[in-house]
Amino acid sequence: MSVTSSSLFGSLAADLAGSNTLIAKLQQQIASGSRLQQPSDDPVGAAQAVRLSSAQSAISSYQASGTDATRFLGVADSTLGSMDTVLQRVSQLATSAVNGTANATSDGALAAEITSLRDQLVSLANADSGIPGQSLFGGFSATAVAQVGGTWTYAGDNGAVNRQIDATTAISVNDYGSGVTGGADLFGFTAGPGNDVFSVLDQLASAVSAGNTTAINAAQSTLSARSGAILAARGVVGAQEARVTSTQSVLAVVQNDNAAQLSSLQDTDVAQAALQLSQAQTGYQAALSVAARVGSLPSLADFLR
Amino acid sequence: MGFQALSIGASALEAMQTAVETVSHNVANAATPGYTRQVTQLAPAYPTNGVPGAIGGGVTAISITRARDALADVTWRSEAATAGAASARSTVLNDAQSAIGALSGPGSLSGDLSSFLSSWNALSLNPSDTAARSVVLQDARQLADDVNSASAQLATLGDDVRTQVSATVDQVNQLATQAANLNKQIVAARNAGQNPNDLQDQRDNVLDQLSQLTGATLHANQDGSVDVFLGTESLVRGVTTVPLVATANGATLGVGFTGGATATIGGSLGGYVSAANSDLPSFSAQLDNFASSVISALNAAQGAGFDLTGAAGQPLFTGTTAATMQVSGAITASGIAASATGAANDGNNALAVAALASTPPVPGGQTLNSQIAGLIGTIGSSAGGATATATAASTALQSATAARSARDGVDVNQESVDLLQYQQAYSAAAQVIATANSMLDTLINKMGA
Repeated sequence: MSVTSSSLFGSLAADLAGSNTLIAKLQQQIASGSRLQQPSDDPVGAAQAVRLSSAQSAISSYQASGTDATRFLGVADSTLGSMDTVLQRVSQLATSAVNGTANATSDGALAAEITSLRDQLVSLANADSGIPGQSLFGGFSATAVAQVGGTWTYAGDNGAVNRQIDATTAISVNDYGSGVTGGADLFGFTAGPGNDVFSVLDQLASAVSAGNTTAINAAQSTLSARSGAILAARGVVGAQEARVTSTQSVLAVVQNDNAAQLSSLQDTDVAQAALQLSQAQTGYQAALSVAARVGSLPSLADFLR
Repeated sequence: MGFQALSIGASALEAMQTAVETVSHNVANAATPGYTRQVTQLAPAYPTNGVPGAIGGGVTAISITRARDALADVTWRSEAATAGAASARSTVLNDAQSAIGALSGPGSLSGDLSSFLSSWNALSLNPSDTAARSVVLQDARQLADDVNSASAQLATLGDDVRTQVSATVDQVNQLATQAANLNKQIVAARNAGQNPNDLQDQRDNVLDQLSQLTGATLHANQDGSVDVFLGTESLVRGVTTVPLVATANGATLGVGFTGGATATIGGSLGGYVSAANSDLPSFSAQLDNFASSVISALNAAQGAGFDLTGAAGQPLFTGTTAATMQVSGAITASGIAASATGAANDGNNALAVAALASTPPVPGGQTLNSQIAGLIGTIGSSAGGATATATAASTALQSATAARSARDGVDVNQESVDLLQYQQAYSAAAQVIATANSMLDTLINKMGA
């Protein structure tokens, strides 16, 4: 095959342009740190990177929800702890009223303290989670307990405050057991009129005040059932907290895995790219030097004198 | 006997001079694109009969022809049509990639969707918080804006391709007219007994461009003209042309002959038409599907919930397509339906919306994000495939170009060798004349004394 001027110079230009394109692409990859400049660089990888980025964003949401769930559960736990302390103190007072050397004055003082403890319990029951309006025991209502016409009533609803702690798990942070969210069940409002913890405390106060041992014992037995419910609720809350914690640690592992995978999909392997760049540069320089030599190649005409 | 050595020598001088002129024309055009090396066809002149037999009459240059390889042309033009189509399509598809913007992160469709759904989750943590509601509304606007912008860029790209097609059609029509004119000149020159080599080179250039632009097929006629066909109909027949015209039937782009005949279009023009008619609409359709999924999922979710005041939620988005998707002007921050029951502290409806991050809006369907990933995958693999095809076709075209120019082009060394040969023949012929002259001198001057 003969080599003509147009074939020689035509292929030189194409070779130089090819090396240049490769160098530009590698430079861009190294400078930006990203291997995926355009979806066509790796269509499957690009689609996967989009899915992974979205999964990472969802995980951040779950982590935010989990953190908030832990906060809510923590407040609920300590509030239930305070309620337990209050009821223990009531129990001590009732016992001393039955056993002690009773007189009307001391009975009156005991009854007054029980009433004050009841007020404390009401205020604990109406506590919010730290966010105003977000009741711990009232479901979606701002308050859980109110006295209506002299009767203690449940002012809340069964609204479930839910947190999505991972893709498939939503937990109700105001679930205190018995399968009902909020405090209706917890405080005994579902056990019939007069059986809620606040009414029982009122009954106890009047029984102590009257020195009625039978009535004191009856009230105390109902009270111990309510106390048990609150202890059980602390157990439920503790279990929820543990669940959130373990879910969070699983999420952290998945997040790390995703990040590593995203990095391998998106990030330039700088060492490899630099190596390729230096190869491409060598090739380009060689092509340039060949081009320069071809340009100055003598032809037969130079030797014909 | 006649003294023929003089005239034979003279014929050689003349023929060698012609041959050297052809060589110099070749060397002069060594760098001319599309130039075909020309060859002086030498043949012995008609002999004179006599005793002891016919004596040759010297040499004549019977013609100057092009050293054109027809097969190399056929190969080149077919590769050029393939490369033209592939490169046009890959240009359009690579532009389409930038229309959908970044792959992930802020400002990308996927990043916007993720932020939007995350802000719903944040709202579920504190449903009565006005700031959290405003963030949801802001993110909804951002998502709608970016969907609109992607849609607008795809539409602009479609318009650009349409403009490109109509410009290419004009170019093809001009080239067809040139080809017809050259046909006319070539036929006339041939009828006058000439070899219109340089006109033929010009016409081959025009035909090369027509092949690359349209994938035309060619038919050479006896009279020296060349017909250009697009499918079964001719664009150029002899000295007449039938111009092409770009048509638009709704969104579908077409190219046909003036007068309505169907043209089979390949080459760059075919690449543009196919990108405009099948690739871009499929990307737009996927983007529209995504937009309509977001609109219907969010509006259904709003309708299932209650806003801050306890009223039933109103649609968040208006519109049905990527181009028309807008946040409803009637929605304010308090209009975001976070509540599933109407209670202000209920964030369960917001939680249900946030779940769209991992659950499909339609059971058994794709998640919203998968739809974006699907769109990116489709555009990426279309563009990647088109680029790979274009690269392969361009490599094939390069080697066809090299092969053709090796056959048709001017090799300066070859020409130098030819020049030497003709120069020596010329010197020898001059020597023959000198010898014959000396012989005549002997005969005329030395014999009479």
